[in-house]
Amino acid sequence: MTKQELEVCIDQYSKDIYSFCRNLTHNLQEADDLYQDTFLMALQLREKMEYGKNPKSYFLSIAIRIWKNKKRKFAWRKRIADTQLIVDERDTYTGESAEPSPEECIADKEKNKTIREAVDRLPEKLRIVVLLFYMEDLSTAQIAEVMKIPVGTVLSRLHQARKILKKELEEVIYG
Amino acid sequence: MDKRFDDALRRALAPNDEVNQRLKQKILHCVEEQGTMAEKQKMKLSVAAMAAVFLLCVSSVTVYGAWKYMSSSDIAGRVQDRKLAEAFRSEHAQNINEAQCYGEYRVTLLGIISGELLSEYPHYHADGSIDADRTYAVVAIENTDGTPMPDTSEESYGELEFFASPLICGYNPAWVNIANMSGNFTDITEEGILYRLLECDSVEIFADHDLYLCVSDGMFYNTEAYLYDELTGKISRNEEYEGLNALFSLPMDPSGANPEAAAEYMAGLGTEPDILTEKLYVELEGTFEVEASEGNEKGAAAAEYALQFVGNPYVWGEDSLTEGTDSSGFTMSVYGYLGISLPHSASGQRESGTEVDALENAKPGDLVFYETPSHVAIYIGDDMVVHAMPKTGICISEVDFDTIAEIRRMEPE
Repeated sequence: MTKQELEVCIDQYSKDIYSFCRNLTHNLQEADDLYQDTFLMALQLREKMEYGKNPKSYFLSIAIRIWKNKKRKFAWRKRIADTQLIVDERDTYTGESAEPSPEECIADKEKNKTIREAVDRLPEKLRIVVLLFYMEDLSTAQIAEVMKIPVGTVLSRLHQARKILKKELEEVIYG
Repeated sequence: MDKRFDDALRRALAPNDEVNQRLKQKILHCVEEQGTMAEKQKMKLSVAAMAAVFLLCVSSVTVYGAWKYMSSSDIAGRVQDRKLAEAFRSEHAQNINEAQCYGEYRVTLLGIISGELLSEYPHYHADGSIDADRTYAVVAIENTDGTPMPDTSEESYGELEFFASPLICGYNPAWVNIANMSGNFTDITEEGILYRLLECDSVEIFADHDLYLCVSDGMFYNTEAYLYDELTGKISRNEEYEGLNALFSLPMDPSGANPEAAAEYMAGLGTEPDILTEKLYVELEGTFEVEASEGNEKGAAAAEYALQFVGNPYVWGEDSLTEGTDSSGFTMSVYGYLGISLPHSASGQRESGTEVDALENAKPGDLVFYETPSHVAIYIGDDMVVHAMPKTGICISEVDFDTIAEIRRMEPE
């Protein structure tokens, strides 16, 4: 991948990758760091990347790996620094691209918030799969590749996550 | 699959978080800059570049020669930091290779280097500027019984907790350690040995102090594993501690010391947002008065007297209310003025007077001791204390800005 192609990718996937980082880290500063480190790492590795071959998966796999490696050292900063939880401030956006009527908007906002909170409560193993599937729109095969786990494991984690979420969100989604 | 459920989740999780422009610009700028740099390096180091293994698929490597450990330089290469690998091979790096065994672990300090812009991945300040001057060190940790350490991708790695940090003689290690010094680390397991590459702000400016590197169990600075002598400033292993508490002396060239920069650094330490910040700086309302009650005249006088020095500096080991004092020097001098003589050490002061059973019963003038070793403050009433703090100088804080260990009344009954 050339420098120009990487720049295009950064532009094209910034929302996808950044949303993922924020949901993974639950913290603005950490999300910024992770996002930055992901692309800096990608910069180092760009020769190994092929532009035509789903670079998004590649960025996501880098982000996950960096996050796992760093997670423990964040604990220091968490202890000394005031962590800005994202969950609370997500009220500022609706999670909707189309513009529904005002009443719908408020109801949907509530609903989406409840769903996101339920996802946040999932164990990280399940949460990453859910984010990759629903947020990043990856196929189960792509998730397997990104996380370096067998497809069967992806399916079983997705199944577990859905089971938990359905139970928790039954009223919100079907009610 | 259930379409309604899937749609609801897709909508709720739609990636809508925008990257702020500054961050985006910074990354694009890095691509511009480093992109051209990498290009040039590639010409020169093409063999090395081909041999470099991507962090995502780190596999076992050949150990060179008979030497058991990988070198600091190899480890830097492992995390894709060619510049740092080069630096570790330079004459500025110190290869130490000293081993210590405590608890169930053998820890080997492989090497350390301090300097400007040594790494390909610079550390950024919160304002986006580069934090140029950094210290890097590599330690190897292994089980003494020979069982391999878990790979960093294994679940059991998450259960292991080590804390490795440079420490500086004269500065309380509970305050001044890697966690506060913009520190970071990366762990790699190779051939059953866990290597940790750690980095933090450069300790070279403190080269006129004794410098240490501690490696203990626990995720944070382990106050049980080490002893801090607040009078001499010396840091030592707690011999009675049964876990891991290795402590290496770092050989430093005193000529690299820069006391001015060191003082400035210490003054700025912890200016980042801090849980305690809100509780640490309290402005007294104009109407605030130290409440004197019967039998507590001396205490009230002490609190009253102490308050006039707010804003004066903190200097470790000193006891001048105007030129600089540490926390226990502050309490000593305040009470000394009132004719009650106390030892300089906080632990000695904790032996003095009588214990107050609860915060509700605290009166102005009582000494409040904290879990942070050897920190002591004077209670002034209304849940506030006045004290000398390394970061802030003499200031007023909420009494619970840190965990309270004990409250004692100095006034003779």
